[in-house]
Amino acid sequence: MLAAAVLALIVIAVVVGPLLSPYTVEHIDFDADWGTPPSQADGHWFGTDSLGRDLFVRTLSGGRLSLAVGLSSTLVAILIGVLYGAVAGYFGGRADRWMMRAVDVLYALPFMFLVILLTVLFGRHLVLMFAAIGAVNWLDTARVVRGQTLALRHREFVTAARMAGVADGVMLRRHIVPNLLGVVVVYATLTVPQVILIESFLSFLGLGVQEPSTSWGALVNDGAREMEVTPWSLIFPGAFLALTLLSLNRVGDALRDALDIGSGT
Amino acid sequence: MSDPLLSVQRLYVGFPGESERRYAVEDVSFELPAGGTLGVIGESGSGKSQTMLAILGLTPRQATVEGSIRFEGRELTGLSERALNRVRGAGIGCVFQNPMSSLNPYLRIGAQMVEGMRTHLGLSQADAWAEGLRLLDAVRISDAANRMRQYPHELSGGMCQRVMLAIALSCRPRLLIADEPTTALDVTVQAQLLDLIREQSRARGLSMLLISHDLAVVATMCERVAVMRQGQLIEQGDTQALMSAPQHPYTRALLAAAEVR
Repeated sequence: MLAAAVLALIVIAVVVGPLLSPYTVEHIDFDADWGTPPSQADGHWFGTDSLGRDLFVRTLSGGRLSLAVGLSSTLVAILIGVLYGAVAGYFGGRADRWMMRAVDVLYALPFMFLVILLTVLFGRHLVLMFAAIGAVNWLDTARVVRGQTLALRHREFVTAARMAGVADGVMLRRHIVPNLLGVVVVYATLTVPQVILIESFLSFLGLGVQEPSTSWGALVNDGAREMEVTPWSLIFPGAFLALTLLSLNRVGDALRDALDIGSGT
Repeated sequence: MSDPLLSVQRLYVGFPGESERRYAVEDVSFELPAGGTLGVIGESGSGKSQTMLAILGLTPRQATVEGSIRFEGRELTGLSERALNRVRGAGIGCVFQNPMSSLNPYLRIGAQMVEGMRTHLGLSQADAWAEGLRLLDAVRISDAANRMRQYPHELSGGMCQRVMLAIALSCRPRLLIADEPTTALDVTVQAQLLDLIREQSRARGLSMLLISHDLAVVATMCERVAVMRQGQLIEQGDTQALMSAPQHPYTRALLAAAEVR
């Protein structure tokens, strides 16, 4: 519960927060000294970075991007993964074997290499990052979903539906996929932090978002460079990132316990 | 009525084993006349469930089915999934062992009742819904209109099984197959459900294939009994005759065991 509340607060702050400050993401405040510490007086609540940009606004709008990447990439990964995994598991046999071998092959591709290759070919682009992250994460979803589908296929209500002459498409949509949702929801809440972390990692390496827009990973990267002079520029985005990841993971764990997935009911 | 409703001849169901195929059902033959009732009885692993699955064309993918299964004079083995759907959906109704997993936990009762009727009888949603209400009344589920809007977990095991019976009857089948329909239920609920099955199948003139390991259940429900053991059908005959003068030592042992209780 605490984790869910913290998460809700962070989401609200990230959405509303940047509107409350008089500054924008790009604005360089020449009145403030470059790299001023946090203060109530001048409205730089989190201080400014080494270029004199307001850190409060930058941290929160960086959060917008990190969360957006996290949610949308997860959504893409879940959509593809559920569809692929359910089809493979439901039809089984040869289709299943080939589809899952394809997944194994994709698994073997080194992820960083793929991302660097894409950036070199197409330049740095936000959509590209969504695609790269989504392309890696659906593999896990597909495996989990396939396993669950294999178990579902032999449940009696599926047999009963087959008896009733339900077509394959309808069967997947009405009988298989809804019964997967519990697992998928839990899995999704655990994937979001993973994706956010990947995005931060890419941005940290300079492969992610581009200035002037920013994300938590990019901010941590900037902050880390100057942490001896302006420690707040590392502490604030770092704290937000860590808190978000922690609460997402806690929510996922709680959901898993609540839905009691291990026991398979 | 020269042709039996269901005729199974020299049925083999094989699974790939380590070196050679292993047979779960070996050389099983029986017939079920229209309106007749046959009980198949045997211990766990005797092949009675695999026989049923073979009749329905629902054996696991790696299994092979040999022999002949004729329903209303039509050969079922080797039929395509699509053709099979037409036969088994409309001609055969089925009640499974575990009521809790026979219904999809994420769909309302009504949606599951309507599904088969719309596919096989071509009814409209409204007609199928009305028919569903009638069927729930017929299997003595009170307050049917509200039950249709409930999820399976809101119903008791006995009620779920009656819903299954209603679904099995919904496509106006000629044959009802019940695979240990009462095993998962309380004793008192068992008796009620068996009465209901008997009453409904008589009222509708259905033939019934009842699979059970409970001798008493089969004896009260069926005109004929077939005893299976280790994949083979070792004895079959009229219930009265078989009970009073069993031929096979295993049947004798089975009867003796039932009497001791």
